[in-house]
Amino acid sequence: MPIAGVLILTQPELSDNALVKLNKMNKVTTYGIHKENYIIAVLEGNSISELETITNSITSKIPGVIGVYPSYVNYEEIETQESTE
Amino acid sequence: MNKKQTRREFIKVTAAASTAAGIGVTLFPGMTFADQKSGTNWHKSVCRYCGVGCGVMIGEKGGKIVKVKGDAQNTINKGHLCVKAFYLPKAVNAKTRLHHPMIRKNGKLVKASWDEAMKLVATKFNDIRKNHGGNALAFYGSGQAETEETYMANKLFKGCIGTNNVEGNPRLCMASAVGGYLTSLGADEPAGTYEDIEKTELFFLAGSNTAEAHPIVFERIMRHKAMNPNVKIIILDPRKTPTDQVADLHLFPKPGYDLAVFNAMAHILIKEGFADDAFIKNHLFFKDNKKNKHSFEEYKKFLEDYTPEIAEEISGVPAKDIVKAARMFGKAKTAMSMWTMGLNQRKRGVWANNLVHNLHLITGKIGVPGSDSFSLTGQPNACGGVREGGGLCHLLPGHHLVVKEAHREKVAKVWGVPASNIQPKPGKHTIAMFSALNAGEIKGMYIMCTNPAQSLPNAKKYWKGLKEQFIVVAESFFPTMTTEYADVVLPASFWTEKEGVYGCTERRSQYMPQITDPQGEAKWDAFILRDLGKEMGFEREFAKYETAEIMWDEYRGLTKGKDMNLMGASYNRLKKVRGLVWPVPTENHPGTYKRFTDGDPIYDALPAEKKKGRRMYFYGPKAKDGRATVWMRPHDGPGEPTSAEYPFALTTGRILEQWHTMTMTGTSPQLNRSVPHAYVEINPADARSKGITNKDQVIIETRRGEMQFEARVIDRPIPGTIFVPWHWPDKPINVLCSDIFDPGSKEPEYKVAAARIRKV
Ligand code: SF4
Repeated sequence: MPIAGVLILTQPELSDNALVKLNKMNKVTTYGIHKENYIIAVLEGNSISELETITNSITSKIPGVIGVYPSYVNYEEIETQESTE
Repeated sequence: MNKKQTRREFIKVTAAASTAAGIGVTLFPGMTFADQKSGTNWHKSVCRYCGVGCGVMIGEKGGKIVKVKGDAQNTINKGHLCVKAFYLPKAVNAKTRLHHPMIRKNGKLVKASWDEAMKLVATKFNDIRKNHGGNALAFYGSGQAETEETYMANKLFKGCIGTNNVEGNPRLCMASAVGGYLTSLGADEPAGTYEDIEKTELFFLAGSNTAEAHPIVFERIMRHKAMNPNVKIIILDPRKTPTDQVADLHLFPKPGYDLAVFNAMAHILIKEGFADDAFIKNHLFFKDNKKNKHSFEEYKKFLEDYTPEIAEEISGVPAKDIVKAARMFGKAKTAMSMWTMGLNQRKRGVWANNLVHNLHLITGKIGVPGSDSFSLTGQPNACGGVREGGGLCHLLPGHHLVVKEAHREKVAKVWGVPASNIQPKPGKHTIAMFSALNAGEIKGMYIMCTNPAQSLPNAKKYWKGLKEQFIVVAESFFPTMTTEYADVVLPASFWTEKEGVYGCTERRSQYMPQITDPQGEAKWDAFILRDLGKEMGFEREFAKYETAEIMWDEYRGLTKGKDMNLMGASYNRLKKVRGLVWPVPTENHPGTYKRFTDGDPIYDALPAEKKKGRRMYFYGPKAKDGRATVWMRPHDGPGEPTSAEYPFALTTGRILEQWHTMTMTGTSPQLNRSVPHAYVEINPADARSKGITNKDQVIIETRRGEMQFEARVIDRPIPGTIFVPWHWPDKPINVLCSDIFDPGSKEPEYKVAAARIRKV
């Protein structure tokens, strides 16, 4: 169940629209627009392949998205039990 | 953190915060994140996949890689990675990793012990050497091997066995760039670095699908353009690629016909007053193909044959677009050209490189921040290990040449072998080497970390030699198309299982630590070669190489005083910094952003009279009087032009999701699912005329055979051109490619072959 933090590079004038569209996508959580044309998002997939499918649909379906760049990928088997941390 | 927060949410927040940190943003001030408590050990390393050289941080827990993040402190990628990085740990743990040596017995590869395998290889190689001479043996390496690995191979084959038949797959991808730099600037590798990206006003991307082949370079270009709308991008490519989404102008030449376009751009640049007369006067020679010197006036006269209209006739690029491109190049205060295989893998690859350099030289757009003529590298250590490490048949480590007696003596002394062991003549280049294997002239070959049975052009032709001669393959993955022909397969450590140095596109050498144990019985390639040397009887010569650092130190000692001086790049230092850009002559030197000019320690040390009136001094081994050369290269088309019989130009290339022959990316079922099978792109107009619709099965045929593909009808290739990605082993398109090669660089012309296409 990998989790990836990604930077989504957008055309500055289309960043707001891209954020709205990203917020409607499953398995994508956004963390705002930064420095005008970066959207920070976290992708969750059942597999690496699903992460890539999400990445591809962000790139191909959301206008103004120039690229999706993973910055952090966690590959650990992550269960959804309550944390003791 | 709220106790009810699930671990998954905790990791999500960590992922977001870590990603934000990469662009200097703090998302959750004061919060403690999963990584700080999870017992993960982080190690600074380098991405294994491409020549961009991105820094990665590898998170290891209990001997396993559990996390990967972009290294925010690395100046190349500043914390960002491309989608291939998703798969990095998958490659290490792939099911196709080879865990033990194998020997062919009764036609089948069967498990063997290291002892048995090494004894067999040593005995066989020694027999061949004794009975047929050293030149009956050969080594074929890789731009993915570490510098230390190629160094060991060079010593064993050139210094001990006594053959210069040492080649590597960079011959197939960047030999023309080497030839271009040597002939134009007098020294191999670019004058500038990636730092120029954020300082330029114009990008000229020629024969490079940067978005897919060098994604992080593309991201930097995009980021720069998004923040600076005045920045312009010109693309020259016969095919529309994802890089196009940001192009201001796209020139579509017929494959193999772009030399005239470059000359026509030079023609306009001079005619419209964009030439830098002072730079021309003090820094340049003009030469024709016979190396005769000419004046600037004569060069101008040569260019009269390349008006935009004539170039249009030759290339198919509209004259107005050529003029527009030249004006954009001329008007921009700074310009950065980048190119890859589209220019290199050509019958006139060196000329194409020269003509791009010409544009920078005549306008003086070189040697200043934001201006450079910058070749991009495909493999992660093609520059470091093979170009600099001397892994080609005419080279010795550290930019030394086999033909120079003083160089042979210097290297032999360091290696502790008689200078007479190193032959004074270059060995066979890649195509000649595999032809000699076919002919039985070469009887034994050691192949390391590469898959020539799939990646050679006209590949099928060379399967004969692989089948008939004694072939040893050292590989991390099994099977590959090449292991099908191997007599012995040796399991090699991969990426996090070994330490060593990679040198990327921008002259930067970076250290990679060993983080995990080798899988199964796999061993580090450099140690396999060292031990083979000992087994062959060179016990004394290989006794000292106990560690990677000993190999690296010996190698960097050979670079002392050379243009690629790495004396300041000790392991101790490389372990701390994010790579060093040579020349870096001492441990306190920061590395060199621009070569041949102020700030380059070699330029700075030149006597004042040499530098008088010159902001650059081209001091490289092939330059004379400190001058670069503008070459008068005439138009020349591809080696195999289209004809009535074969009316299409077949061109090949990469896609984002896969890498090379898929030995690494193909191990990931996920990556395969994303682009599951090979396909051919055909322009809608051509598809209509051939009655082909999307997803039809089609046959592509060249003079070397035919192969079936699924058609993708798409307006990416221009009419008359078809495109096939070259990664899939079940559809090795290279079998259909031409093995005609550039007479200078000996790099084959993968990029253009005459073909026909029909519906099944
Ligand atoms: S651009 Fe190349 S080096 Fe960088 S993460 Fe992608 S594959 Fe690795």
